[in-house]
Amino acid sequence: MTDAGGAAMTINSRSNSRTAWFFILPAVIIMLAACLYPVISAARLGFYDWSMGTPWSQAKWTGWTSFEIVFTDPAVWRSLWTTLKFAAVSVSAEMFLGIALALALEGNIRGMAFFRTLFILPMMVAPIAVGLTWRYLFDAQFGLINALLAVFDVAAKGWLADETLAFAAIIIADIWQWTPFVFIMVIAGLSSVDSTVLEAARIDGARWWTVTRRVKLPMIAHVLAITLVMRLIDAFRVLEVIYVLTFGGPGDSTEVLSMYIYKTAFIGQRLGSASAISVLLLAVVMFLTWLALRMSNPLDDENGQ
Amino acid sequence: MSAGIELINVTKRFGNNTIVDGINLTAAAGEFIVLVGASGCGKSTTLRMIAGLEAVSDGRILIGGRDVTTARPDQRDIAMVFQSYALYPHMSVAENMSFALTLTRAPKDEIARRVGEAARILGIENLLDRKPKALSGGQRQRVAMGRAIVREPSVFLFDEPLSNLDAKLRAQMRVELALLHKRLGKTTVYVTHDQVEAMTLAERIVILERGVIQQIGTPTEVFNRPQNLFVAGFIGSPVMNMFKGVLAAPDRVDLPDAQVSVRLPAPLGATVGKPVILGIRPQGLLLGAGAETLRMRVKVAEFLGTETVLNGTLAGSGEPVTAAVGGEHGQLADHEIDLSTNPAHVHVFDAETGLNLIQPAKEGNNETT
Ligand SMILES: Nc1ncnc2c1ncn2[C@@H]1O[C@H](COP(=O)(O)OP(=O)(O)O)[C@@H](O)[C@H]1O
Ligand SMILES: [Mg+2]
Repeated sequence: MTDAGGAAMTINSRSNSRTAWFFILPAVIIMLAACLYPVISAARLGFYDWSMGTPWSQAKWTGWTSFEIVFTDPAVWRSLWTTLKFAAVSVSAEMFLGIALALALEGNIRGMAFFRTLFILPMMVAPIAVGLTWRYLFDAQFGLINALLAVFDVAAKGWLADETLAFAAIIIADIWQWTPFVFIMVIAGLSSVDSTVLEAARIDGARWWTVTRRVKLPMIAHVLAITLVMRLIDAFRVLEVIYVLTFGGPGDSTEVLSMYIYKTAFIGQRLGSASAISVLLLAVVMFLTWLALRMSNPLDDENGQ
Repeated sequence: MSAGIELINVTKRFGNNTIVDGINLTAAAGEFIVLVGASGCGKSTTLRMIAGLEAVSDGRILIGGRDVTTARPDQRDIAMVFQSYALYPHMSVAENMSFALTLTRAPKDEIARRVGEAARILGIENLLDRKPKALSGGQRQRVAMGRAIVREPSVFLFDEPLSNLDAKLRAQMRVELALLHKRLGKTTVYVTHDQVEAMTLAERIVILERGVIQQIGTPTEVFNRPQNLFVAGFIGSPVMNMFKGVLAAPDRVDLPDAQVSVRLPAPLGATVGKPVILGIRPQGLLLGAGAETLRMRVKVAEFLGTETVLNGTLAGSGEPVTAAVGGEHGQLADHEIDLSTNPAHVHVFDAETGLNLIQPAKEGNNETT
């Protein structure tokens, strides 16, 4: 009986979705054009040798040369590796801290609204300002962080002058700025969880940790996946904070891909190469997005049948 | 195994509001108890206190003779079925049903056996691999019951389990629930606002109003001997007629506005001249004049197949009247008719206290300790 009902529903929703497509088609076309145009024109730049400020007519067709250079340029692979490390460490720390904070602060503790507001403040600060703030905090001589370390009798460190510490510094700044985003997403997700399901789990004998791990978090898996993707995409494109804090240095220790693209385009004046690297970055980000969306697509959950 | 339940002076306060007020209730092992009352009267809160999802403000709860007042839900040997089913959306039906057992690290073949058996009893064997999202309301309902059965608890708790189903399915599931109870013989506390569910499922009904028990009794008792006006008005369909009157003699109530005097089945001990409410079930009003005759202006006549429900007003007083008379009488709409009373369906309530004056509480009916 129900199976017949299910079949009828499928047919129905199929014709419905055809009608729906008809209505949203103009919007889709405009969206695609708006999104694809910059991508295509950036990719096109990769086939030319052109310097900014010179007329486009002087641009030289170079074919695949820029792309070949990119794939053989060790600096590209090194900065991609730096980006990967940066993204992996900062995003996992942000996810962990954001989820932990959300779990700790969900529910109606008094003063909750105040805490929530406090936590999202970093997110509202412009990245350049975040970079500047942390630059002062990490300052070897006058920085607050070394001053705090001194309280515990730890010798002052040249944060931004040391390769490892500089890498840690950009990660700390990123965690500070973006953990709140994860927190907000997770707390919103948790508030939508049907509390009777959690009560059912308690009756079934699950304690706090089991309820959290086996019921609560799986129930917001799609929120976690979306949050992860958004953070990964952002982490792969990170520029401003690093620009202000280390400008990729010392040496090339914090030179992430977008920093290298920036240097190639505006310092090396090699726009063609910069565009080719951008295409590589875009490909990586798109792959990650596809992967994460595939891992947990809430619309694709019907395979219980 | 089945275990009895004892609620001793159980009270719940939220802030200054007393939501459940000193409930005393004993359910024998294997008994089917239905808690019934209007929405917001504290039924769910009471059930949740038994389940351990809500702490009691006062009083004690015993299950199987063991004091579980402060025990965790999983230590109470209960299983609960929620109105919203509360299935784990990310788990398959089989995983939903076996979740509790996996937490106790029961052996795999034991889990498979119990899930299989529960699925067979409920007829959901072909759904075990599906996610809740891919199930109809009735199927989800069965899975929720399956999840409870698999645990083999001593006590089943149901919170309005059928109220999200359509009328036909609800009637069908009601029968299945009754059969299931017969088969498993587990103590059950079942919460509903639907008096039909209460009357058909319960061995004993508990009628709750504003957190206070109004009456505890078998379906027959609460129908034939409602202890007060609230119970009289709540149980029975159509609702009992209530007329303002005065006790004119020990065995006679006058309805001054309608200028009728109704004879009672037996003389009362109450003071003559007392203001009372005369209650007559719609089934207790018969077509045609009798020893004492009520005149009714019929406004609407609803033919229901075996009987006709007449709605209208009492001539003289204008008080609303409902009569349920056998056979088809659709032609009576917009007529003025004579009705006589069947003394067996006549009740008299104290106008001030609301208590039934004819059939006082049976001894031990309202349990107190
Ligand atoms: N956690 C709570 N805090 C405050 N009031 C509550 C809470 N839970 C229930 N109530 C109140 O208690 C009353 C009874 O609720 P409930 O037991 O759910 O009623 P029922 O199940 O009979 O409809 C309602 O007025 C409700 O608003
Ligand atoms: Mg309720």
